[in-house]
Amino acid sequence: MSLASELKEVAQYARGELPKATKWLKELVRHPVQNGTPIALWLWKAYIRHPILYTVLGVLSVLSAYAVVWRFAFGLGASSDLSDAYPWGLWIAFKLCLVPMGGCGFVMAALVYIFGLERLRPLVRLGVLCGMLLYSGFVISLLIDLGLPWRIYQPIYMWQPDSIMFEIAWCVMLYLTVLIMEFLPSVAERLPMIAQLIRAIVMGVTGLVGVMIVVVFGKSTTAVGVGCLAVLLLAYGAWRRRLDLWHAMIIALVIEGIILSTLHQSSLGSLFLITKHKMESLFFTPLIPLFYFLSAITGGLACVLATGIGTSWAVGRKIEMPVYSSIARGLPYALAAYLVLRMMDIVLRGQAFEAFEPRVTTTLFWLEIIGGVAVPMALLLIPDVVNSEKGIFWTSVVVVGGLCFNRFNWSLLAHHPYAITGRGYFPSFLEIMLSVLVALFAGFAYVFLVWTVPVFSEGPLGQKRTAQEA
Amino acid sequence: MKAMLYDSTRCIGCRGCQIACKSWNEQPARPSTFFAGPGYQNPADLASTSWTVITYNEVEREGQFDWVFGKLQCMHCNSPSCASACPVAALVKTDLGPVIYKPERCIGCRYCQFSCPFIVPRYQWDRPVPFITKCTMCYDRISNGGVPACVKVCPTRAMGFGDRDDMIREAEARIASAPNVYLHHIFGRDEAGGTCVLHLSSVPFDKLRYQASVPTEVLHHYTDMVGIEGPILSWVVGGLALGLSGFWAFAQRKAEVAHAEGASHETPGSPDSGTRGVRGSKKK
Repeated sequence: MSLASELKEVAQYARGELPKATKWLKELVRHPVQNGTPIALWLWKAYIRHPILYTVLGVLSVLSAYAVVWRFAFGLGASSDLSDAYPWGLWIAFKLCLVPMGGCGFVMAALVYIFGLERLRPLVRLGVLCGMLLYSGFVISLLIDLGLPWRIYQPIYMWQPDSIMFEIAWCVMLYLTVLIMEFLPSVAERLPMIAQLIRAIVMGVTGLVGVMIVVVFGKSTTAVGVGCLAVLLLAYGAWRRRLDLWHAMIIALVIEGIILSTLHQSSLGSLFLITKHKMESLFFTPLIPLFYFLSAITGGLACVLATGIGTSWAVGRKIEMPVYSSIARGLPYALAAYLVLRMMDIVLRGQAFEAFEPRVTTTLFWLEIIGGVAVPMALLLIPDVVNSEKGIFWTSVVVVGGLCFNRFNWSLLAHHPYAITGRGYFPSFLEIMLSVLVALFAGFAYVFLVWTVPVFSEGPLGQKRTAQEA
Repeated sequence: MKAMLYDSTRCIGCRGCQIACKSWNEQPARPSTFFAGPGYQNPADLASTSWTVITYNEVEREGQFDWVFGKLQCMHCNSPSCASACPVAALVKTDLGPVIYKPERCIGCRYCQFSCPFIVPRYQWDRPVPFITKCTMCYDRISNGGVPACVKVCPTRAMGFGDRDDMIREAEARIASAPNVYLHHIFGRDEAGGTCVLHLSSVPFDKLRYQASVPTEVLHHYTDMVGIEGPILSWVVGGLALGLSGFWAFAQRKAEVAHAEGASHETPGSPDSGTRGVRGSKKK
């Protein structure tokens, strides 16, 4: 598996000596999902097993497809309640929820690959998969929200580095690439005939992303030096353990992912640093980027716990309780750090008394702090909770819910109405349906991928299910 | 740097500037009604087809009500939030003064609308292919030595145009010449770090429905601190790159030393589940 043999395979593929892409896809789907039955029959069988669930999903899919057509045919004004008074609405708040939940990718990768917590390895792929899908959902949501979505690539060559939005654009582009590369090795296990090709792609892209990080975020000779030094450190580590290039590249990829996530999670909060005069003083703090980053760690961990347990319940697989419990035992300390910093920030900015004024925003603030942070933190300190599936699942759901509530507060509710006409905002039906579309996409893609790709430790879930049925 | 000076006490509310703005910038007329906003104001607010609007305000002065007019339009900040927010440099501050918009660069993220302290940029919500619109200070006219259309048309010379320093001196002279009439405040001299549109008034500016609470500091100060060009980000990126790779490298070294000493430890941070690639362990 040297670099030379991988490059040779790329050349083979270019010459058409390897099977075509459609054939690989068929290979991926055929066995675990369809198991040889015709696709229509297979779909019908699935439908009669859970008729209500699939009817609801079907209706939602049709409605959201209709919403997409309407939005692109008639524009933003006709499909949303957005206005010059409220140029940002539900879609932005929704996106701000997707990204910190997608923080599970970088947190899990960091814990296992960099900090060496081997016992958490069964959840790495799940974390990366969730991160990848939530980030893809972010991009789809962005395509819906942008006025001119076909120009989404323009920040690549129209630079304006003062802009936080520019930073976000680059972070999303690079980090989604990193997430896909982190997930591809699992796909390669199902497609052994192109495994080497996939490895070559992953290694090449890792190098490219590293260069782009230096070019976009470094922009100086010092940054080039720092990058080279980091590469040397990795090479040293790999040499000590006699690791080959592939494994060293995976570590580099994970580090790139951590850097990009740190920037991206925090820069989403930095968006609000420019509107100090429009925000409630309780919510405006120069530390918004730090809080967004910290809550992405807690939210990401909670997201991977909830997804893992929920999926295991749904397919009736055995849950690796020691793994889940060990994360759940660590989570309250991360929540406590966040809580203490939020409280210190309120006190140091002299908002301690204002926070108790009976207003809507102070109520929202305390709901979020107590319900979304303090209560789950206290619950996770109880041994009975962290040792039970239900306990971990429901506290994680509360943490993720609190995170989403926080993002809605920050992006929608903590802002003063803008325009002199005093127009309000309430998300339209089509706005809600287009957010549902993103959720449906992430859900369908998740089911498809855990069914066909070895994400959980026993392999593709579909394989087991079809084996049981047979 | 050029600037406009709007003197509310000279304005008679004829709306000639609204018409001139529409004609020069080829904006379509829209059906609208009186009393859409307070009093005779028409239209109610700035819109994608109305880049300037005269506000009509009944203000109590010395025991009786008085019509006082205000002019909404882009303030052309010296250090604009919108240009700092735009990810593709579609909004640019020109050396001449105006903040101009380049539609071919815009991606439609509307961060400019979100960030503008004066709530000026307007979006073409009714179109499937929408763009941002706002006053350009008639950049096409003034870059050829002319004056903005609204200034040109104003019958009472309520609008002035010239070098920003001259306009500030002119405003100060007017306040000094009639200190009982004018509010002793040039709106736009310091707001948001200074703007290229200056306003004089006889009543507090919030009565004209301006965004009077805009602070005097440059508003993208915080985003500049944490952005790519700021002092913090490069330390974060460099620190993470070196810290993480260093931590991993020395964890590998420690694991190898432990392995060599014969202890069967967990192997921190060895990638992927198998022992594939850990060639050293096979040899030993």
